[in-house]
Amino acid sequence: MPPPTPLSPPELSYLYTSLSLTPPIRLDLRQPSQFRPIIAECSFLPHCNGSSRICMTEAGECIVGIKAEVEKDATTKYATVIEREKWIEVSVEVAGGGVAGAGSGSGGGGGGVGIGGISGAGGATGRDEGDGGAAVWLKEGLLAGGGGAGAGWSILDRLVISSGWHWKLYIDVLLLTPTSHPSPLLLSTAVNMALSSTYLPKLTSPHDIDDIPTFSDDWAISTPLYEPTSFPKPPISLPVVAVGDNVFLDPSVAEVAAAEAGLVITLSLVDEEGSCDVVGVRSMEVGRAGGKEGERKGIGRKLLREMVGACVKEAGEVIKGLGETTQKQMFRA
Amino acid sequence: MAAKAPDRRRNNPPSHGTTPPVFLSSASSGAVKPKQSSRPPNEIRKIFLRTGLISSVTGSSFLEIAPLKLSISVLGPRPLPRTSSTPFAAQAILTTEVKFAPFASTVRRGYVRDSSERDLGSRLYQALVGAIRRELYPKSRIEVVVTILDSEDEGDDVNTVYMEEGKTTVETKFWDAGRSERALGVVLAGCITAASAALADAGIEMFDLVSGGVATSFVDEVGLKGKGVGDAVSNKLYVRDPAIAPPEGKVPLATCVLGYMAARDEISELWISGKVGTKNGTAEMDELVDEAIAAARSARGVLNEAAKERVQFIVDKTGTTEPLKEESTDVQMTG
Amino acid sequence: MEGLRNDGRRWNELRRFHCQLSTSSTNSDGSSYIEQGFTKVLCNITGPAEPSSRQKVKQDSATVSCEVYFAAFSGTDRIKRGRNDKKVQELQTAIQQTFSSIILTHLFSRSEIAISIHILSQDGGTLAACINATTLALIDAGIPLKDYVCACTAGQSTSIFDSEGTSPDPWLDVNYLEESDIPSLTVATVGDSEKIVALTMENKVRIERLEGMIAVGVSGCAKVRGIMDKEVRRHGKEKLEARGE
Repeated sequence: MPPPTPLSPPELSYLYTSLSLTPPIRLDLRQPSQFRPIIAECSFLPHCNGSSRICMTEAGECIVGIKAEVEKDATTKYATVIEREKWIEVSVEVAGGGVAGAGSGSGGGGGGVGIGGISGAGGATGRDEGDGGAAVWLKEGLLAGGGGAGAGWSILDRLVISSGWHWKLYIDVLLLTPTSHPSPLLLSTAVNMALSSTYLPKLTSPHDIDDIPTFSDDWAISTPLYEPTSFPKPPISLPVVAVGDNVFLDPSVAEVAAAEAGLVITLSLVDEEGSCDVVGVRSMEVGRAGGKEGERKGIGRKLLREMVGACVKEAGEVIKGLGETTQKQMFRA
Repeated sequence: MAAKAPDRRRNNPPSHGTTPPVFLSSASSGAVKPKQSSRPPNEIRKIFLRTGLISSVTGSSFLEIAPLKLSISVLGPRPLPRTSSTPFAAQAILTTEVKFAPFASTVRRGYVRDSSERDLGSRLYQALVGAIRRELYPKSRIEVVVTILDSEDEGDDVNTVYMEEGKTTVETKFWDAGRSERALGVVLAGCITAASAALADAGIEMFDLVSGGVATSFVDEVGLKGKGVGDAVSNKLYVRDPAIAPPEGKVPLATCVLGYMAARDEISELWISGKVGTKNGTAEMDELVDEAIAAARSARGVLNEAAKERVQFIVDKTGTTEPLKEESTDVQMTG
Repeated sequence: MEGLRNDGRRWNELRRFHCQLSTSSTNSDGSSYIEQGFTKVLCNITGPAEPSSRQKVKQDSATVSCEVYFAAFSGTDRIKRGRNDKKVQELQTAIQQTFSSIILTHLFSRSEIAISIHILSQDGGTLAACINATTLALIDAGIPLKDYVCACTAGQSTSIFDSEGTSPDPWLDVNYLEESDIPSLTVATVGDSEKIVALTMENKVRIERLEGMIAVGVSGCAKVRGIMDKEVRRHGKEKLEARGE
């Protein structure tokens, strides 16, 4: 089901016309590649290895807490790749749940930007996840972003403690704004910041012994999960929509409802100059409510190039800005 | 998890559990590697697609791309339940459900849908929703139910690790990463193609048939340690409709799965996972997407044939395309 | 150091108390955030509004409902609690009952006031922090209350004599380590009076110690009230100044 449309058909048509002009006019007068301001803080939860809180104008508020627990490898001599992928568990919880909200309409929250249609009509054919399947693509971006496919570095390697033991990383995302379509930008930014500020305690027992590992209590010598000077960094997901021939970054709920096509592009920073690798692309459900019937039902190749190109251009700066904020706030700069 | 109090009444097994023994398939020759197929990289596997096999539903199809087998039923358009909880819908509401049968893979799956099946369901929804003329069926629902009967298991080789003789440590081979995306990608591409056939069989009007295509890019295993993708050797091997096991000596980089409307030249659903460099702008992504589109075009040929076959079958069955004339049994009233 | 607890406090010292109102004004009618030491609690209020289900409609007064969410990362171990978890349900019932008697519900018939609490970090005194956060959020939402409800914890060391040979003083505002070690209770009072609206204790303690613990808890509540009132007035003044009055 597409995200709830807050506007009436004439309003959507007006918005569609305004966005398909050359140059386009957005309702809040932003540039097509301009992002809205966010509030971001990190390292404020005492029981967590890493934490972050992000507030966005429409998408709401999101708190992420990362906890690492020592776990024994499932097999003694080696861990196969499928098992290694279980070392990270992502869980997304939406405040207010998905259940009660459905009956009373969208009383509480404005819908966030949608990602991929959630199948099912009002829960008639089986209940669907209240979080819109966010946990799946968050984890996908994380594992791919670390160069799981052969770039010589994987976040999973950082989770190995000693022979037979590893860290199990629990990434718990708490979405405080009730919505059935969590914004990918909100969630991925929060996870990115939390990961960048995550510290793991330093190992004091030797590496090659099979016993339970022991760690130092001194957090001053703990190791960060993502070294500040190393690349790649954790990924973020940027939503982008197209209306007519124009492409817009950080679309508002109304713009998503009027858009003809949408994508969520996950990128991670690979060097200091700001170039990024694309580590995931997914289609995003848009309202298609503005345009005429029969026009554009999907994404043509030229449009695809433009949408991805726009994201790639801006992503480097966004991620670097986020990184700087994280550095300033981490408890040990 | 809090530690359980030790159970003193019995002789207990080891507290942290045991793992079953893992055997190499052949002790003498070391590990047995899976057979590499001789299919050229730009050729997709043979597709068997037949519609109209299930008579109790509006439309159905069966697809086989060895070893994948799946069956799709389309129910609808059916009226929406008229309770107060379902709001008025000016367009048909499409529902997609994907389920692996419990026996479909080496490791048994349960009866409850897990997150990857739900994800596939929403991907399929995204692929089909733009193509169906939903405005022709207000206040209705259309359900597409996919059951996967057999699949190339994403973890088939999970217990076979290719250990080199004499080595005491094991390097995890990076070629294994991205495996589940490749497996699910092949399944998704098959689902999209078969779902279009089933929708056509059900007689639901569409703007265009959507066919599914999947392609993976590989690079040589050697030249990649520690560098970003952009620095890697630019000799990429693109394989359409990839098998789970990668080609000899190659490491997978990225997989692209898409739902493609050939007549309109539009992509209705796009899913790229893995690493795509941006040193040349979008050129690398373009190449990958082009390969997947080519795979989708090949599948479209089969889809067209399947749809035509069905129409032909119906025409033959009725014998003629003209409406049947019945003897009138009405009684003429006189007087 | 004589007479100091493990975090350096004396027996009658509160932990660092920090509170904020209107933390998410776009999302709910009233909101607040409380930190008592390392216990961090967020509270959102929605209402008075139409009840979410027919069962909740009461003809002559508003229904007060409460939902408590423990974040999986809030404790030392990562634990995901479901809706039917015992601790969750106990907290929900306690808060709902406390505030049903404090909110002037007769003013809003056939409505629902929904309290939603998120516990981000637990370090002892969870129920107290939830009650304090709810009070502030209700004030922020502008819902009429009889008075402030302020809560605090008190614990009692189980030894008969302390180092000076007299019976040991009860400890005010226990943290998690102390809570696991000694019996403790949570007490909530109404406004300036010493009237108790909620009292919970889950351990065993000698009966002659009980009055002392309650007295210490009540005096802690008075301190908490002072801090909360100060913040409410400051926040109100700020809001008025922003509107130019």
